[in-house]
Amino acid sequence: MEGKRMPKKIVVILRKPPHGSLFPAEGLRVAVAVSASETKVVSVGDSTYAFLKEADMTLYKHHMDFLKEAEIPVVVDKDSLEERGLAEGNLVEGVTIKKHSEILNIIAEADATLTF
Amino acid sequence: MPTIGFLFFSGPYQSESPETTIELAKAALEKGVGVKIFCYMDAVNCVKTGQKKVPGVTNIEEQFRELITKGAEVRLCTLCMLVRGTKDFIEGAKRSGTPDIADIVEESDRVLVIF
Repeated sequence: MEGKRMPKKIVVILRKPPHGSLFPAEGLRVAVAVSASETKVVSVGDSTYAFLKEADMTLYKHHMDFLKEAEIPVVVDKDSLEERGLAEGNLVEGVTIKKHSEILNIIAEADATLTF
Repeated sequence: MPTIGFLFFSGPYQSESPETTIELAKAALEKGVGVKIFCYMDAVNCVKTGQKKVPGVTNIEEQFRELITKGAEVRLCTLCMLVRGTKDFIEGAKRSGTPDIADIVEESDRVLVIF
């Protein structure tokens, strides 16, 4: 359509832990809401705990399932994992681990970053 | 018209985040920049009616009324209102949902996230 803007690249950045805060669940809810755009989810810091196999995902399992179905990548920061003594084997299937520099590139390429 | 979007998280009277959001929005409006604010989580309480006026404390309700009068678009997360029991809110603010965040991102030249 004439005059219509190109869909934007959106990165939803999760920073806060899933215990004691609702932010990862809300961030994933928003990732679903904006998924018509080119969307990626990035997890750094304590938010990485949200993707542990043992994590209680009651509040956001359905969002994770949708994101997987919609092929919206969920990328976890390798440095954040290692700082917490965690590794890929601790995480649920469907998330991708990337180096800090790659995460920075994802953020740099985005038109909008939504932090939670 | 250039437009700035705000994804705003903070409730009133605990930090200066509402004041920061309000002042940035006012400055944008004064420069002819459109303002779209999405009040998310506790921020929905910033537009509750009946906030008591206390000398020396910025009345957030009044400030949001002024923003709307000056042309700001204020959208509220309906689910966030329901879980907080937030029912009465200022005229001009609109109940909405997270898909509105997608609209605001698409319609804005820049998006600021304020906690």
